Amino acid sequence: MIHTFKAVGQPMLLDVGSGAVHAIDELAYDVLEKWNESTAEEIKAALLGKYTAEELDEVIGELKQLEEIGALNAPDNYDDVKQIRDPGTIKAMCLHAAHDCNLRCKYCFAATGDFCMGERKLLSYEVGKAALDWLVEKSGKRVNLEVDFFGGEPLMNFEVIKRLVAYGRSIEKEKNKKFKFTTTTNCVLLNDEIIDFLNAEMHNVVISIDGRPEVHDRMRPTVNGKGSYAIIAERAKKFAEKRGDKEYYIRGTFTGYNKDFGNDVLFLADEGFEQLSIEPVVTDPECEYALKESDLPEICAEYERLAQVYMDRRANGKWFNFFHFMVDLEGGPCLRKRLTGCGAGNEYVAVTPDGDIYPCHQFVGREGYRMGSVLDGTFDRGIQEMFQKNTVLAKEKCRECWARFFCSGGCAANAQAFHGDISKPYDMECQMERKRLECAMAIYAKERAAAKGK
Amino acid sequence: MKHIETIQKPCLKDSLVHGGCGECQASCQSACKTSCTVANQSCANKENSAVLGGNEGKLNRNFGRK
Repeated sequence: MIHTFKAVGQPMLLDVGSGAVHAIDELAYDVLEKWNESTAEEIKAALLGKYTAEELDEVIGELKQLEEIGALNAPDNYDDVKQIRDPGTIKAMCLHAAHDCNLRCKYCFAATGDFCMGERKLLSYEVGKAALDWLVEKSGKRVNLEVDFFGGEPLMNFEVIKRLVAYGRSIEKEKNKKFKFTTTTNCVLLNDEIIDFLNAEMHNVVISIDGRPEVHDRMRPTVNGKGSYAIIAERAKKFAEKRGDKEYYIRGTFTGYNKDFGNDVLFLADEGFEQLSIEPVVTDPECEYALKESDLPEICAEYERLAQVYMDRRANGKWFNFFHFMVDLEGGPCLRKRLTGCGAGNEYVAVTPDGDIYPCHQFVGREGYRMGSVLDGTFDRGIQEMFQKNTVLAKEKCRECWARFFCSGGCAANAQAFHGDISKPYDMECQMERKRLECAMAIYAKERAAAKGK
Repeated sequence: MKHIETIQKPCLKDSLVHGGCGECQASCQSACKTSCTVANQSCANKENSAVLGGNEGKLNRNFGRK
């Protein structure tokens, strides 16, 4: 399978089966439109006049060369690839430090903190310690273990997080493990002590800000209904300044209220943040702020606009990263990783303050998806195997999609929420993902060419 | 080539040789927590560096910075 497209004015060719990516000119783009349906003679006859016979012969020769070296029309059926080594191993955990929150965000998938469980509670040190021990036990030979302190708002339980990090560090050497702790926070409780701790111990920190103050405040009010931007903005800036070269992301959500979300990305860049990730809201289509199928042309046009401004800024001293425009074409993940995706329910689980295990944070509280408990050692291998088998190869809809080795079949939680089936991807997500990937590849090609002085 | 510039050579099949160690980051633990983009995760397998990056973290902090 091949995919040709244009983004930020750059014609591109992706060879799906080999993973080869080519920047092409308009002539090659036109020829490729007909490449798999026509003979060389038919293509020449169709395009003669727009291009000369010599030009067409050149391009056809180049495309044949690509086919000979396996960089065009390479086989794309990987059904016989064995799954990731050591099936059953778990390496990553979303540890819910708090099923409570000090904000009342309107789009919160966790029902403003309690995950629809009817009770707000914090993780105890004992349950957290049991979760870390459980992860170590389930991780087999894996050295790098990821633990994300999540919520609700995890910093409402900062003292327990500190103790759990200390505990994790204390067993690393003996167990031959390396914990990569991360956390996601709304910044309300950030102070100097917490900033220093996060910078010392957290491999990555994700900070929730939606963008422009009015956009942020509309969806992220405090408990008493006031906007939270004024409370968190300076704290977040201070954190980012002190973060140095360590990883962090400003992670916002855009909704039907701000389909010009590119302006929120640019606002955050203007505020001095360099690592940005603004994600589409996923919610009941009946919600007033839901993104609708009919919004897709506008959303895709906004990604295109943002991509152009993004490149311009990066080339002119205002560098920043946008998570979805980053794609590692030269050093990306292996094919097995690309088949298995995020690993939810298989390599990755979420653990609640009660010690209950779910496939990921999004599945917490969903009926039929409780996998067991870190407290009593129960663990439903049947659910794990169901997720393990849910690779991109098993998803009917993905088999014909050019993006399948980049998104790996998308988010299982979204698939389940919209279709009641983890193997049926949520189409809105697919369409946005394809547009973002096109932008990412074209940006990569153009920045690469600029770096070479072309 | 005059009309085509290869940005990435064929890589998927070759990556099976050393791939699948599982030491890389779970994509959802990175920055999104909802929309999965596996291909912007870097390979963490140093054995694989001849084919892939062996360059974990490269993307996630200074990607494309001059």
